[in-house]
Amino acid sequence: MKIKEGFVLREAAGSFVVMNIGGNIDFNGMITLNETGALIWRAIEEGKDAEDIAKQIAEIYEVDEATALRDVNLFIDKMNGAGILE
Amino acid sequence: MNKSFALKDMFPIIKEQLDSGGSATFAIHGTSMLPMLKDRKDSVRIIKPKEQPKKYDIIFYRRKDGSFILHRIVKVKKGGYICRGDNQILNEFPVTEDMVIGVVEAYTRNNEWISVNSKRQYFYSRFKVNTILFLRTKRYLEAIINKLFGKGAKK
Repeated sequence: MKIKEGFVLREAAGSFVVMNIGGNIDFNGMITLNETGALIWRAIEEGKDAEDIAKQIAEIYEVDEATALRDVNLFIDKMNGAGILE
Repeated sequence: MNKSFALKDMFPIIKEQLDSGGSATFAIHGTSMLPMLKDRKDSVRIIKPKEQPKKYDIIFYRRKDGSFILHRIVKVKKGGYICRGDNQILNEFPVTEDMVIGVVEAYTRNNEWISVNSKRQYFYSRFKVNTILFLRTKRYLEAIINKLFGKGAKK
């Protein structure tokens, strides 16, 4: 699981915007992430897999790992749907 | 995941995006570029200019007061560009190089993307820029007629 080249995260206006370096950003429908999303993004950049990320989320937010894993997988699905992952 | 944004907040991102050779698409606001661009209905795709912006190009620039403008170059002079919205009669000068963020490469019309290099844009832009005297005269006459017969008329 890797983030496609060219997709980077930038902070603006209190949230995180997904940039597409060299491509097009459509501000009419841009993708923004909250802090948790940004955390997951950074973890993927570091090469972590879904289980590792879920463990991290579970620790920080004090939820059980199963819930965290379900949410992390949902998020990864969304990222896939947006064509951000490879 | 989607939300509206303020241009001034997104400006650093737009700049980085354009500097990287990419493009930025967003809906336009205001009526200054009618009839070509409709307020909040039409969008433009901006890129960093590949060559010196020239007459008839639509440029995206930032004024000294911080506001973002999308107007057409009607003349290139030594001190900068003379710009004017397609729906306006007053010119703005100088718009200098350091104010320019990008140039429009495509725009939407009824949700269809049209290149600025298209024939229709070519003829439309020449018509718009070169018939300004007619628009000014028309507006002037409208103002007089309104004054004589309109809401502000004395009875």
